[in-house]
Amino acid sequence: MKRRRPRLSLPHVLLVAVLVFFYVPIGKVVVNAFNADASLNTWGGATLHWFRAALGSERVRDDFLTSAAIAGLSTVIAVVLSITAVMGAARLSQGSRRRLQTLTYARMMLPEVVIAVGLLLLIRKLGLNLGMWSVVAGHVIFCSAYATLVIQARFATLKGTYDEAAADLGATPWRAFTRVLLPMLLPAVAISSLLSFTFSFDDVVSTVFLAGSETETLPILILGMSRQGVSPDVNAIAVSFMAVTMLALALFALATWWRTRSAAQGTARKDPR
Amino acid sequence: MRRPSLRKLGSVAGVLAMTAVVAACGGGDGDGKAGSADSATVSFLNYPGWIGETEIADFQKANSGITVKETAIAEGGSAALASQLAQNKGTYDLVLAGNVTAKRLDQGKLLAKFDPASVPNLAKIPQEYRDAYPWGVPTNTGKVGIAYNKELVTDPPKSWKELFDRADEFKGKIVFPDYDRDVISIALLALGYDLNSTDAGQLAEAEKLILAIKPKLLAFASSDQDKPLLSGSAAIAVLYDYTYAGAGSDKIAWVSPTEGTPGYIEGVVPVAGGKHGDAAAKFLDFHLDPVNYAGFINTTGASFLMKEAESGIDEKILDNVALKPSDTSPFLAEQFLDPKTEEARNAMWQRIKAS
Amino acid sequence: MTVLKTGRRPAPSAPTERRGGPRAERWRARLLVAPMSLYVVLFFVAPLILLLVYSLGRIDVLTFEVSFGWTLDNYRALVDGVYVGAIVRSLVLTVTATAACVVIGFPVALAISRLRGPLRTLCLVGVVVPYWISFVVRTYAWLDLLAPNGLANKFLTALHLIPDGTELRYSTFAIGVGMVYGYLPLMILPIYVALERIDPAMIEAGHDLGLGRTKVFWKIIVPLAMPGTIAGALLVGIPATGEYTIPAILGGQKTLMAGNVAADQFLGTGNFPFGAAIGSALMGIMLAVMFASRRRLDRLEDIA
Repeated sequence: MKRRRPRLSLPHVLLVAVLVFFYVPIGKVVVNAFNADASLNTWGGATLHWFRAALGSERVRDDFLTSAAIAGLSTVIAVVLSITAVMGAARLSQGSRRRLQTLTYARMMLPEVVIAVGLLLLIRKLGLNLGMWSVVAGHVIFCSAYATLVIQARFATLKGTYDEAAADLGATPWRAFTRVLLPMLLPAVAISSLLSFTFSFDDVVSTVFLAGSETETLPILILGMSRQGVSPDVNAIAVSFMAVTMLALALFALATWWRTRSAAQGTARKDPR
Repeated sequence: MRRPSLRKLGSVAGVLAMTAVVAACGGGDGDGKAGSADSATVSFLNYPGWIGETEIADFQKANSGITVKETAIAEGGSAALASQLAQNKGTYDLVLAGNVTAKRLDQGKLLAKFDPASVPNLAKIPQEYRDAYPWGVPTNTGKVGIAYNKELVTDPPKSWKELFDRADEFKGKIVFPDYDRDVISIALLALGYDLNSTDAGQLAEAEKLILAIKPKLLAFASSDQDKPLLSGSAAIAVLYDYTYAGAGSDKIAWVSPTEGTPGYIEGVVPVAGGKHGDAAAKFLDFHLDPVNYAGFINTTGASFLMKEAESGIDEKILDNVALKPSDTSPFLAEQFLDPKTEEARNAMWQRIKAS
Repeated sequence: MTVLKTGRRPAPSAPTERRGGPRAERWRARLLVAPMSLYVVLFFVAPLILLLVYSLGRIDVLTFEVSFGWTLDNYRALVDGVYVGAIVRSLVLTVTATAACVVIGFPVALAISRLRGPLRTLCLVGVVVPYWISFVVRTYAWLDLLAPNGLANKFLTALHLIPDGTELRYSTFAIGVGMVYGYLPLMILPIYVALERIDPAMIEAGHDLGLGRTKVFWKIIVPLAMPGTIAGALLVGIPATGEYTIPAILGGQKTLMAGNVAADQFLGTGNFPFGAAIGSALMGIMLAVMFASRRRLDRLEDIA
């Protein structure tokens, strides 16, 4: 498979440029987090004070866990709903498919605040209490829309293949799903999970309306703090938890790589990679 | 051939989700402990950091059995706050609110009856503020004035009228706050009207005045209005007193305009349906203890109201020209007006933004 | 998987029918769609209907009690030039930002899909990582970068694109940068997913047929990646229409966007019915656009 060597071309240059574009503001945030000048107007020397304050605060840690829990639950629910919906929709009539599609777009199109308030009014009408569940319910609305779109794009490119392969193998639908379809959907599932988790984790609009008094997430805390000016402590909190998230991901990636590697060594290697 | 990397991504996502679920269970346990009989948890809706650094810890140490749990106010809008309180009746005990918001909440029947006798330290706050803020304990004021970059401006405007009149001089280098009430207030003052005017004709004039200055503004900034001023990209900014004090820079200077400085009285009010009234009152009293109050002012840098606390307050704050009451420029409190006027002012603000 | 099968286009529409007959097949499909449908109806459609009802009433901004006068006032207010302007501005900005995202995102996704192994994973994760830092904090960072003495400003000055010390903040340009920054990953990822599916043999075949690199790109790669590009455009364009944080921070609040109007009704003034009316109007526009382009959308699904 080494026929097409990647050449240095316009896309590669753009890729590098875009990565720079993505990371320069992040760099700025990181630098701000170390700035000893609390007003951030000048460079006051480097300090770890803000990090110590951020990580030492129980409130910040609690909020991080709450955010992670909400994001995790929302992701799982959104992705599972999306996979089943995409698979089912492919076999429905064009009319019902279009109706489903419209609802997917509508969930992304409407300003989030409109959806959140609608849900709030409904919950109030039903006399239910707000809490973590209502935040998750709100997040799944838009997370599942994103997830559906991504998974659908992938599914669309392999719809026919999957049918034929499954038929060729004479497989039961369940086996066809787990053995053929799911592995092929995996990149889309991974990306939509990543997106859902990220969006839910950073959401403020729905959370403002749907969280009760017991539920405070990290972005809510950060937004509240930044109302009096974006000070280094806000930057430090943001950087700390980006680092935590990255570290967690890196560890799991490493663990998985380790597992696949040892598994690959156990069997005959058919692929060059 | 591409499997390993893809699988990696997939399992990463999966495991991420799983950790989150585990974390969720952990979080659930934590939530379950609230509401036992002999302990009270006072739930306080507040701006993060708008309290003395160690105040809550100190209070909990002094009053075993009472916990104070802060929840962040994220969106500044009073409707968001009101709907948050309306939807969660019975879960909040205290809320931080300016006098405008407090009145709005009160009219919406979202506040509990406040008993001044339950907070003995309230006597240390001057009577005028107690009268202007009857819903709870007033803690500080906040106002807008004119701040300027000393390098760029040698002869700063001395009044709101002058600011509007001489806007051409500072074209593209003026920052306004993104708060309708304050901007409308200064326009009304510049025209020589009452800042709480309900007169449609006066409001229309103010609208014209703001529309005329809008093209000459750098921005309506919702926070950090001091930054462009410090970096020199703005020459003049309509700043909040605590923002000016917080910048702590000698590059900028403050003017209290002759017509007066419009602003708000801020305080903490008990919420309707709160279940821990006694504990909440205890906390409010603790908040107004001169030592704790000084700590609150030192952390926030807000305009303070209590003479007794002065000995504990940083000199920097005591001497700050923006925070000190001015002899020539009175503090003018903005009021919540009748719903009709509020609606008209809001529509006016949107027309200004849209133009 | 054999190369041939992957490459072949399935017959348009009419899904392959398998054992159990068409009826069982349809039941299975409905069962699969049911959880999502139920969820959406319960948590999205029902609240929207409630809002729609609200948009015909008046709210007491103090107590949040709604009186249903069955009035069209809220919609009449909407036709006011102010709000039409805001909606048009939002749409123009959205289209521009989406176009910019396609132009930048497609080559980037292509570059990532040509990478191999860990480097590719790294780049993919690298595209998402910026999202893990609080959105508000990130957007404020741009405010610093775009300042006359900021890094972005210096860079553009060095390229002689702008005169030294230009104020880039609080402008439509700043909003545009913020939008592209905020939404570009949403364009790159779906395009990548689509490109990743393209079998190298297809491109080989193109070359074998004597097509040049440019032709291969336009005749093979672009059409095959179309579902991803469309998905990306929807992911970017649809939510960007209602965006209000970026204009608020980077635009200096000098121009009004539809999202800002709606948000203000719900957050600031408490005029839920009017906010609901704006929401309904946006939804109406979207439905109209989708209805107009339904042919194209359907065809896309079939090709895909």
